[in-house]
Amino acid sequence: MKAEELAVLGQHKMAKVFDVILLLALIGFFTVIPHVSRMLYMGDWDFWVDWKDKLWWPIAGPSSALLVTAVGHYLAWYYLRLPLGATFTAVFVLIGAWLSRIFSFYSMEYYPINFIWPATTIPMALALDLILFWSRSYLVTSLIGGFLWGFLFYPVNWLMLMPFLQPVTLFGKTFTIADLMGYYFIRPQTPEYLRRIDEGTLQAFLGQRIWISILMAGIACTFMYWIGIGLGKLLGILPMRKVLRQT
Amino acid sequence: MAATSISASVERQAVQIEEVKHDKTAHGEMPFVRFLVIGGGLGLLSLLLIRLWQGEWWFPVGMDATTPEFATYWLGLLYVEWIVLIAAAIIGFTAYRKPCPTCAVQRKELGRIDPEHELNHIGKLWATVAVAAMFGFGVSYFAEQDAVWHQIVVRDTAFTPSHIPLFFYTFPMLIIMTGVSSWYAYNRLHHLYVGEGGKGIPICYLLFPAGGWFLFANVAFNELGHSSWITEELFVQPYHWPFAWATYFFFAGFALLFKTVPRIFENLGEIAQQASTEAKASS
Repeated sequence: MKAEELAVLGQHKMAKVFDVILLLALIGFFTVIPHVSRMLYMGDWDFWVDWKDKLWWPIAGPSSALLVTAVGHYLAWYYLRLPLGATFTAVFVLIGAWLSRIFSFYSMEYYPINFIWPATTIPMALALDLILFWSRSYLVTSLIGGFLWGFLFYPVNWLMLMPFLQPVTLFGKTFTIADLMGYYFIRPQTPEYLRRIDEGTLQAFLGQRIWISILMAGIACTFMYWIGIGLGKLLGILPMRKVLRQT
Repeated sequence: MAATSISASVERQAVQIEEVKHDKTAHGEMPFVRFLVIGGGLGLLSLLLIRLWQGEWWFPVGMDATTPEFATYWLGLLYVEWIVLIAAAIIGFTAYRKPCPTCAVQRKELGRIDPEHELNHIGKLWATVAVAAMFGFGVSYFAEQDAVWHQIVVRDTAFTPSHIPLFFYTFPMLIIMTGVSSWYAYNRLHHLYVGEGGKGIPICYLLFPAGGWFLFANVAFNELGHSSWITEELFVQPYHWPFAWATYFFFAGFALLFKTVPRIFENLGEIAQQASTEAKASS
């Protein structure tokens, strides 16, 4: 069937109904898959502001977020030739996370919103989709887009995190505001082990250590992009062709 | 007497075939848009009601599993969920347990399936996937809610107020709905996956429901882990990771859907052609 014929048929009323159903399915699955993935890999780093440290959050955060976003990005390009998959996934995972934070964390457990905000990946998702759109190459997208995904995660979220890293002195001790909030809102787990890391040799790098972390995050995401592509191919495309023969 | 009976039966069959040939609404089952609205609406309503129930009762009677109030309010909800699950499974799997009789008549009499009729089947398949996706949205919400519930209440049972909707409603409902999708594809649209007269089971039929099954299976591992090794809630701990791996199987749903896309356009093309032929004939 020619492209012009497909375009005409795409205007059919029934085709529009199919578009709506597909959109509903995409919204559902591209909320649950990246959201569950994110809450179990990035989990506590994403839940609490006092967990948002300079070593693990900038690396675990973007890497785990990219894994499923890359699948959405790949499947949207493969099936629909739309350079929108990463952005779509990033938007709906954020909506899912905010619904949860507002209707569970805040309105049921009474944690303040500024203690539980989720990190955003939308700017990097836009970059990832645009780079694929311009380059039409997964390799170029992984090298540039994948790297930017990891490298920009901390700077993009820094605007939201910055107010909570201001120092505050209480009972003769100096904390960040995020730490202080963590002491007031007690949970079964606290990021104490992160404090030990902060006292380690990485501390010797002083102001440079965040650059080391985000550089590592960029490199990790370059590879994570390919794991996402592989996952999408293995579970989203290959099963369409494979048939178990009955004997 | 016998001759009259046979003649009446033949006449009835002829009328039925004529109806199938000319009546485009003779789907033999619920139109897919109605299915989507009713199925999705009821599903969404159930999730909203559960959330309202939680808001009302989890602090007053949800903190201690040993109290009689807990059994009344929370185990009561659990039993209601189980009834809904059993009903959904019975309706879903029995309604589509046989190949479509209308398709059989059309194949026999017309040599092919009417495009509009087949589109209704494809639409119904897509609608089942969309309803399953809606329960997926529920999983995503209740899973993170579970994370925060266990920040403030130590678990004393596997049937906590956050587990009851998550592990014992949305997870099994995902198994049922994704299973119904594959079951529907097998009994109504198998020819699109394996070709006319083809045999075999496409892997996407199996992988799509496998996601829900692995989610549910990991509940056992998770509860064992919490009761034996790490009792506090650390959400990034490794024995939670298989929940994430299980959700990856839902990508097979897209293989299930997109396999039907070429046929949608073929059918739409035929419908458009028929409409233009009829328009020319009438003018």
